[in-house]
Amino acid sequence: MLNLKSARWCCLSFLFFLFSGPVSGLETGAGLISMEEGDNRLRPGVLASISHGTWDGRVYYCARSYGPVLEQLTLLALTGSFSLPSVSWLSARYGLGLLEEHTSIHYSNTMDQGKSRAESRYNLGVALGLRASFIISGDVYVEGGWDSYLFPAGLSGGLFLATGRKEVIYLGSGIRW
Amino acid sequence: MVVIIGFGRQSVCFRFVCALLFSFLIMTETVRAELTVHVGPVSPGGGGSNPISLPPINLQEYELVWLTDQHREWSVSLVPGLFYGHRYVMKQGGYVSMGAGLAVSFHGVGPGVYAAFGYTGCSWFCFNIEYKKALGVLPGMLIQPYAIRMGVVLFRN
Repeated sequence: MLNLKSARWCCLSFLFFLFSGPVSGLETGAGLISMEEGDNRLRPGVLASISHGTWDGRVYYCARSYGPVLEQLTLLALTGSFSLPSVSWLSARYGLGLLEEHTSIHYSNTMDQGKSRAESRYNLGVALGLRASFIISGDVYVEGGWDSYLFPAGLSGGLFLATGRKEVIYLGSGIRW
Repeated sequence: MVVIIGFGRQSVCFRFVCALLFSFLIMTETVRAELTVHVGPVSPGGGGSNPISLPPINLQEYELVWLTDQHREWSVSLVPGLFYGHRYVMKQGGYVSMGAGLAVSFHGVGPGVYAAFGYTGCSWFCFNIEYKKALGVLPGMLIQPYAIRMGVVLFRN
């Protein structure tokens, strides 16, 4: 259900991390998320991740449909991380988030098909988060995290710190290669 | 925590217990500390963050953060709430804080945890900028207020 532009971004980021250094130390994973958008409502979604050393690339995806309307949200995050002193299993993450919100209205009957439309909006923001990761068996790890993605709300975002936020709580698992 | 919820948020007993716990924990910490006063837009869960009021006369935009020399901090604000936690300070002035307390949102008040990411830099005065978020529990829902604030640090060593 990803549109072509989102798929292109995902592939580029995965290829970048895959060939940016030795394969050893590479982590790939997937999981489930709940996303909150400033209104205390939680929306389910999925994530895919790839990490190499302290750098991490993630893609979050949420979608919902009601009637002829389909809303899709794709969030691509590129972050660095550092461990907190005396808490080896917990790390803080910082970086950038690229957001695409795609909304389409599609009427199936021939009379209303001319009213069908679609639009996409993009925004670039700051990523800040906490991640806990544990090895459970061999090279398999489980992780949980609490991330915030802050996007400037128009001109006020730069002058008066007004922002829109995507808050993600996730649980996932993966393999260390 | 079950006892506190049973009191009811508006009751005199609830407020007294909170004040008592607050006072007790303060007395166990060293007195030397730095105080951060900052102001900025908050998001109490009604949808998005709002621009700071000009002039900044809205009480919910202000926060006081008291940091001891053991890096324990108390945060007092209307949004995201009242918290006690630990600050992990990095070399270049950045820090990450986390802890627990009472989260305050448009939908109510409940126990929760918080995390903050900030930076303090000093020249002829000490400047602070911080993003603070909370995750609180209410019956049947989670609340996630946050705020982005800037301000000054007083009494810094």
